[in-house]
Amino acid sequence: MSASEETAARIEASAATVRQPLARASHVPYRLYSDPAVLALEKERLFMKDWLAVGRVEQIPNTGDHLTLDVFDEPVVIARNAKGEINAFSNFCLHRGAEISRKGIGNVTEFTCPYHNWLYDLDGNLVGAPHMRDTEGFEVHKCRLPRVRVDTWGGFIFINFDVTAPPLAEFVSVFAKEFSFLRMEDCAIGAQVEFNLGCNWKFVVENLFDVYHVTTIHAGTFGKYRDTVDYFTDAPGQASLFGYYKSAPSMDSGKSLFGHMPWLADKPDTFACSGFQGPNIQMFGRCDGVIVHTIWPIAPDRTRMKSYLLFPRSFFDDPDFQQKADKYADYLKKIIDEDEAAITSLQRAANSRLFHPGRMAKLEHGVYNVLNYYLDRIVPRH
Amino acid sequence: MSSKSIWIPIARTDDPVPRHGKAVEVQGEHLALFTVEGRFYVTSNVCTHQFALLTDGYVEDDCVDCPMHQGRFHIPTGEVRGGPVSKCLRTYPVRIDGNDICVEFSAA
Repeated sequence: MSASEETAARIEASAATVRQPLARASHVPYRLYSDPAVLALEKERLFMKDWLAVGRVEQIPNTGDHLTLDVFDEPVVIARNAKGEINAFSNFCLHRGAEISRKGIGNVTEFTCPYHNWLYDLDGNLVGAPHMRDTEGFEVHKCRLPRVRVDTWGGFIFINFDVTAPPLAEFVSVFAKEFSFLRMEDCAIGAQVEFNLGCNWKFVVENLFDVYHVTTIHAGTFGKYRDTVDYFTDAPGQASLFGYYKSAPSMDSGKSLFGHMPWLADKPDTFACSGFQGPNIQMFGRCDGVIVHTIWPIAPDRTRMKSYLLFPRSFFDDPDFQQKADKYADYLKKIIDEDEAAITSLQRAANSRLFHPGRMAKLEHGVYNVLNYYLDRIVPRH
Repeated sequence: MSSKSIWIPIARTDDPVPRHGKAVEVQGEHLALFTVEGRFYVTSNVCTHQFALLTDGYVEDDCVDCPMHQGRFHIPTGEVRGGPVSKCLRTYPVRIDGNDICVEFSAA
């Protein structure tokens, strides 16, 4: 048995606590949240197979605009070329592996490796290399940076490291069918927030679907506005991770600063929905906008959450738009601050030999569903 | 001809020009002297893409390839003939005064 098979067998044994009806379920052993071997398997079986949302099309609107990222230790550049196409390719020079593009968002006409000046175009083709004329058999025009698959849906840029993975349209089809009415492709980023959390990524994912904690930890914020009901269903597959409930716009006052999204004019102010797209996207829709979180494991006990606050493009005409959008971002920070203390303490429990995870409440249906969904991907049921 | 321009001798006709051109500095400007089919031509010696001296590159027929990223320029006209370059190379009028190769140079 290989090391990864052994890890898979341990995960499968741990899964037994949630692979039964919710009324009989317990939380899974916390080794799943602390063991580096588990994260390594999650990387191979989830993140290196699935489409990953790494940005938004409106972040790179013009020729030469690009995003430079590290995705699970893979340095990647996502660039828009003169034809308007978005390409993704590795961010390392074909010569010695130096980064050809600096982290973040930028605009260039071409990428020049800072080490020995090799030159790449916006599609990742090598177009020039100094003093290589005497190098036998080396042909500049036959060289290109490794391509990473890239496609877009709902205004998001997705990449995929697996050449055999199905197309993005198929990957997001269930989610797209359910939530196309939110028209995220007609929205743009009003604000963006990044959180660095000292706990396992699954604690973050579970927390976002945990109805049970809302009236305690969030009593002073959105807990006031939200109904404490189990809105998750036992529908098979991904549909078990979609839900509709009553809440309020994501603002202190519970009142929108913008009004309804034009296409949700017929929804009540209390409209709320949430959805999951594996492996790491959690979406929360309200009458006036959509918040999408992408949750990235950094280490077994470290997670980066990138949150996109999306609003219809028509809202951007409001002269006070940015000031208002920033208020939504501040409110989100307040909520995640409330969560942070609790979810990072879970990580400490994971290190205790005396802690044995407890029973689940009915209000943890979302946690139960997302755990089962995740476990079925890592260690499929026989 | 502009009244400010002057003819400056940059080499002698009996000095051999290296196969890949000769670098000449005139009033702080990098110039390149080439011969194509027995005729003398002078261009800027600096690639229009990134900084590199074309005389460190390679002449093939009537074109010079930049050593850095293989931008290719037509020596007699300065036109771009290939590579990642979009801007033409500046060329300078040349005349022979006795044994001197002179280039018309605008001091301004």
